[in-house]
Amino acid sequence: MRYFLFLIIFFSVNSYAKGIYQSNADFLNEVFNNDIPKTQMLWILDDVKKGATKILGEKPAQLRVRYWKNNQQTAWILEEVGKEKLITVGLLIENNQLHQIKVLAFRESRGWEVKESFFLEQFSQAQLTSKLQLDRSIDGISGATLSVRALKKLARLALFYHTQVIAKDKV
Amino acid sequence: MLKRKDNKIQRNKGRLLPFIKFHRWAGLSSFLLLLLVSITGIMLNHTEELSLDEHYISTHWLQTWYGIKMPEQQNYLNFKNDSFAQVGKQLYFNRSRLPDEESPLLGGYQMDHYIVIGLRNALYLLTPEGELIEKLNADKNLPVPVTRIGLSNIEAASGQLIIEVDNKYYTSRDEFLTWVEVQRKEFYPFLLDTPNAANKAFYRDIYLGNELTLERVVLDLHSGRLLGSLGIYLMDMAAVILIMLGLSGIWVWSRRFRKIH
Repeated sequence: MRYFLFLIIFFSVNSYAKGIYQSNADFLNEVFNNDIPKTQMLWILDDVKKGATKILGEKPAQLRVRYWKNNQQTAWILEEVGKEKLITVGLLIENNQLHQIKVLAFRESRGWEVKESFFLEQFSQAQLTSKLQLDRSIDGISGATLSVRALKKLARLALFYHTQVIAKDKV
Repeated sequence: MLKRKDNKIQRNKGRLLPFIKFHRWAGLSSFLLLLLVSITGIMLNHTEELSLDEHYISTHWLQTWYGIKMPEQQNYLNFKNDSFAQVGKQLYFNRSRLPDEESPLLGGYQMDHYIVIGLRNALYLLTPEGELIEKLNADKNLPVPVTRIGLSNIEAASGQLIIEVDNKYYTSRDEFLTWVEVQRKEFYPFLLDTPNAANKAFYRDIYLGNELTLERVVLDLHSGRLLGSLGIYLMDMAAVILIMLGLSGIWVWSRRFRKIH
């Protein structure tokens, strides 16, 4: 009986862990209070490409990224491979600080703990240093090393893209 | 007295002999398996450092052993100097692999400044060199499922890209950020190309070479699964032998130890 209960709990936790937690539209509605700004595009070329390559450790997968901008706020929906599959993350940046980070979809079979608030809270108000690193260390989760690494990369990438967008708009 | 003691030793030796023989032969026969398990175990402990999941096996007999074969879904497009293929859910522009997409390929076209590839649930925009500009899908406002994709005019320069969804026609006027419904006047759908033998062989080699990772082979060697259920039982047997080896070794050693002291 105890063994049976353990199996039920094990499989229900696993099935709950993997999946789509929030749609892209719902995330944008949430961060912009149901008033989503116009979709804009950032082209990943020249210096932007160089910076993104430095952060990701390889060439970015796409040459353009969509974003939504409202004054000093920008929202990004970015994807990065954990071990084999893409993790979709929504990020809100304001005044060069990370205001919100949320795992929107997790497709890997392991490492789903990165969606939990105890982990994501570490990113609150994080900024990017001149070396394109986060200004703080993020504690890992055992068994979720690759997912943690993917989220750290996406946080750095969104902060970097934000600075590029703000700089571009100033010109 | 001395003779009786010699007899006792001989008798004991005779009784121990089968165990000593078993110990020796079991040890030798399971050593190779132990070596295999140890080496593969060390490799698996360092999967990331050794990039086992990034190395692919292209040995033909091993691919056949694993039952890896070309999937049924194979669609091809030929451009002026390039080709595009969908093999299973894998997509290739020449040799470059693009993000996977399971829905079937509908067609593609080389526009003036980019290449557009249409699938049932996604649209790929590529540079003329094949670099991915963006993959569009329902999350990025693409109306789906697309039934056909084509141009409003046979001349690409003046033609507008049109997609057909549920007998309605859509086009984008803001670089594919949003789509608007349009009334169809003319519609020239893109079609798939019939592959030639060289094309098929080219993508066959690429696809098969991208299926079997070194990590999977090492993992299966470690567990014995490489030989199917027989391999698992073989590894089980080796483990049982090793346990017996340890126990019989202790037993033989304790008998000798008691005799000496």
